[in-house]
Amino acid sequence: MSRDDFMKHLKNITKTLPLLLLPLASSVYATDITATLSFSTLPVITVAEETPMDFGEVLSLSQADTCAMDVLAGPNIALADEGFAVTAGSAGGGTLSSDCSGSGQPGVYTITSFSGADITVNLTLGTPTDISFVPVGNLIDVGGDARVPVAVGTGSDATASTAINAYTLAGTNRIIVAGTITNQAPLTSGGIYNADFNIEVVYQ
Amino acid sequence: MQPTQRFNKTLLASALILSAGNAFNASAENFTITATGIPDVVAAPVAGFTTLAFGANIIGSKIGSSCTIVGSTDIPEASLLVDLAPTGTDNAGTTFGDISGAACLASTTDGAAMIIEIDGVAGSTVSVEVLDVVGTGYTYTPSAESCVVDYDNATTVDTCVSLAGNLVTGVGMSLVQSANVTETPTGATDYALATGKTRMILAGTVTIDAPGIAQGVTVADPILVTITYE
Repeated sequence: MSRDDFMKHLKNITKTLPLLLLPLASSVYATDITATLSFSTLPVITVAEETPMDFGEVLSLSQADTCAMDVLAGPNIALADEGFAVTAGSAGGGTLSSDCSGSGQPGVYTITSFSGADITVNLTLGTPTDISFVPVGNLIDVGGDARVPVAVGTGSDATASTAINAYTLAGTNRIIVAGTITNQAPLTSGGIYNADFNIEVVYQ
Repeated sequence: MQPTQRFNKTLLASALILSAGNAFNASAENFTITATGIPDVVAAPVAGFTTLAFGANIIGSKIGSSCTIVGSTDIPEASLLVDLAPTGTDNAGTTFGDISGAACLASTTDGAAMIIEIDGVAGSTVSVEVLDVVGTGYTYTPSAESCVVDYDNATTVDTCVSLAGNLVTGVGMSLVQSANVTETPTGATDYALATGKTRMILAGTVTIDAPGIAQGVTVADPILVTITYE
C-alpha cells in the first residue's frame, strides 16, 4: 500500500470512528431498572371429610327400593357441623324416608380454599354397584350467610369465611351431604353396601 | 574614536531588542480545561414502594380475565411528590396498590404498586419505556395505572402521563419544584422534589392466558423499565 493509499484509509477510519462510537456513547444516557412482578395463584382447594355419611342398618332388600336421607330435616346435624351460624333457620338433617325410616348421619365435609374466596361446588355421581347413590347437599355460604342447596349437575356458589370462628378456620366452607340410595339388585340381609360420590370445587 | 562609540550604541540597541524578543517568546504557558459528560440518569425504587405484587389472590383458571393494581387512579401525592390538583385538597391515595378484577379476589388490599425515582439533569427530558411481560399463562401490561410524572416546570398542574402505550417521551425533569405549583387551599401541601428528578408509578394489569395457571403457583418475573435522555 502506498503512503497516499494509507492516508486515504486513515481518513476514512477517522471519519467512521465517531459513527462507531456513537451507539456506545448514547448508552451512557440511558439506564435500566428491573422490577419484579410477583403474584401467587389461589391455593389448591382441599375437601376433607369431617363426618362420614352413614344411613345405618335400614336398607330394604328388594331391587329398586330406595332410601332417602334429608339434608336439612332431622336431628343429626348441629351448628358445629355447619361451621357457621346461619342466621336463617337452624341446623339439622338425617331424617330417612321412602323405603326406610328413622334417621341417619349426613356427611360433613370441610372445603378449604382461601379467605373470602368465591367458590362453586358441584356434586357428581360415583360408580354404582349393588346400590347407587344420588347426593344432595347444603353448602354453607359464609359470605352470604345462607345454606345453598347443591344437587347433581347444579353448581352452587358460596364465599369462604374470612375469619376464624368457634368451629372453623378462615377460608373454609362446610357442605352437608345426604341423598338417595337405590337398590340396583336384591340386597342381602346384614350385608354392608358402599357407594361413592364426588364433591367438586372450583374458584369462581 | 568616534566610530567605536557608534558601534557600542548599535550593539546596545540590538541587545535591548533581542531581550524584548526573548521575553515574548517565553510567555507561552499550558492551561488545562475540565469538562464532564452529562451525568448518567439513574433510577431506584422509593422506600415503602419497592415491590410490585398482586399478592396470593390470582385466580389462575380465569382465562381471558384480568387483575389490575390501582396506581394512577388514586395517586398518593405525598409519595409521588407531585401536585396534581393544586387548587384542591391533597390526594391521599388510600386505595393505591389495591387490586381488582375478575382474575383476582375482590375486595383484597394486599397488592402493592411501585414508585420509582428517576434522577437526571434538571430541565432535561427523558423517555420511559416499560415492556410487557409474557409469562407462563399470563401477560403483564403496565396499563394506564402506570404513569410518569411530567414536571412542566411552570405554574400549571403537573401530570402523570400514562404508560398504557408502554413508552412515554418528553418527560420533564424538575427544576425548582418549590417554585412550580402553589397550593391554594390552606392545609394543602406544595410538594417539593429535588431538582433534576421525577417519579413514576409502576402498577399494571395481569391477564390470564390459556391454558391458565394452576392453583398454588407462585410467579416472579422481571419487568424492564428503561429511562433514556432525549
